[in-house]
Amino acid sequence: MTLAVLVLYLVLVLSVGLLGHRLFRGTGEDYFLASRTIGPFVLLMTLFGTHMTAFAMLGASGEAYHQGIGVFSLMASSSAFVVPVVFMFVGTRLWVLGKRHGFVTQVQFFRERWDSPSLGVGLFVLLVALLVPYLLIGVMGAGITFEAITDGLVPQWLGSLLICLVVAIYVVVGGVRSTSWANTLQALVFMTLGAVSVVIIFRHLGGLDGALKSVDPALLMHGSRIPATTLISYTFIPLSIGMFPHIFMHWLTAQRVETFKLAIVAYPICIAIVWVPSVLLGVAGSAAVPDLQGPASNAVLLRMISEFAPKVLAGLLGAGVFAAVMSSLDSQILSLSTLFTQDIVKRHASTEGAEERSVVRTGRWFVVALLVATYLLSLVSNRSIFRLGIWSFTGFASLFPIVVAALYWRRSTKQGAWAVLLTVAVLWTYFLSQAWATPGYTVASTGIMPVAVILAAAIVAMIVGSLLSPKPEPRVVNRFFSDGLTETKSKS
Amino acid sequence: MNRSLTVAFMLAVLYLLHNDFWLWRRYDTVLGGIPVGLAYHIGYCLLISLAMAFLVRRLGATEPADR
Repeated sequence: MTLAVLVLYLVLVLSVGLLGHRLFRGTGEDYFLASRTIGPFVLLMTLFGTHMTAFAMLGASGEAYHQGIGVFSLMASSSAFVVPVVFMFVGTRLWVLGKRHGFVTQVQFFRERWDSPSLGVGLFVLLVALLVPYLLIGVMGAGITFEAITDGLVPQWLGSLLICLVVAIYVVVGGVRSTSWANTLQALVFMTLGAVSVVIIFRHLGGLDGALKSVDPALLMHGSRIPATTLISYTFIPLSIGMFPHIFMHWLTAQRVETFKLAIVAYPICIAIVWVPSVLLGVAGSAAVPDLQGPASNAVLLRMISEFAPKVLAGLLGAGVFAAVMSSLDSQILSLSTLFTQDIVKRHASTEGAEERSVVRTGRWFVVALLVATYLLSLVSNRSIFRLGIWSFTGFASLFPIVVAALYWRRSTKQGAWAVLLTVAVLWTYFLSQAWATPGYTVASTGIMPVAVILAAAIVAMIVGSLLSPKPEPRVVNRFFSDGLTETKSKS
Repeated sequence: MNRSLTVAFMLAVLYLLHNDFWLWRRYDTVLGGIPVGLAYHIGYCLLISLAMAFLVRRLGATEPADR
């Protein structure tokens, strides 16, 4: 029964993804940007689906199992605040500049903003290096979940393979339009399933009040397990959304800048819809299934469903987890393919005058090659790779000063941007090496997350690097500020 | 108060409201069993949504080049 539900779901996603192909116009702009035709609802859902990973369902309940409701303020409501602000002040501006200058990737934007091809290469390397572990975690997580939900009937290697195949087919065939449509379906699926799970399970446990009565009261407080310094410094992590290549790609697909309005307003509500059930089920699970130690608590949702809900819900929850995994994986793969195609092949190979169809074909081959490489890596990677995933967010968040300087500071220079790249690369590596041996690591055991220190250093690096270098040429800067895009607002 | 200051003030207030230290040691429940700290943050999400609706209306979420 569970397996049948999962297979049916994969077929449904595939069908929706393939529908997107019917509108395909055969051009590079259509494959990589859906000809900038995506409307408000699909933009909201695809951004949300891309941003939320399987962590929002399984990881969040696992964290709440140990840390209590504080997980919501730590990870969910901080995103609910930061993400719409980034959409509003970064996303819309990048959309305008992207449309005006025909940018397809963020590397193109930064390269031209500071007129520096070498900076483009440096950024390309760093973005890809930060994104690859994130991809790997998605593919491995899907395989592990498949195996757990089907009681070993579908082994991890086969589960990961199925997910990769489904994603490969609709991304290759329909590009970003298919990806956006499939993500919309998938975001709706995991939003709905969280709510359904919480209703069914709490009814079985005697209602919310009854289920939480037997829980350790410390888990019902914010401050019992999470230090104030951690709460404050964790707010910087969601800034990562401003530098994710896959989010940048989806921003550029918007039909008009007004298309962003719904995403800006409705994003906090979508976050609450997904995270509240996960956190409540995790907290209730600490009393209902009290034997889970360490990372095993990530299975709390699966355990509760298998014990307190009908079999079909296990299949549906599996579908929800895959929805969360695939809706991120497809966008990440496509954005990497776009980066390779636009910033390496199109720029460095002699493809001038190449047919649009050839550009699309190259993009498709990259999607397949990246998925094959990710899948093969997932077969040989150790599960400790999951710890690297959290560090992807830290790295992207620490690069945030680059995009702010590019959009709002005329005096910023390529030397400043380089200073940020180097500072982030060095400090990120240092803190990762420190944290690898110490679970729950914070800076000097103060509760402060490393992201706060790296971000502060990156801001200083941008300011000092820019002020110590010659002023940028007006002909370059004016392309990005000349119409009063930024000045109008700062003067008003 | 000019537009930039209004925006900065609103964002600063929203950020401060996120750090609800006054509820950190409370574990009572409200609204049929929701822990008060969680209920506060659900309300906080709704407040952000309203604030963003106000900002979008006020700023227009548009740029000169797109008009």
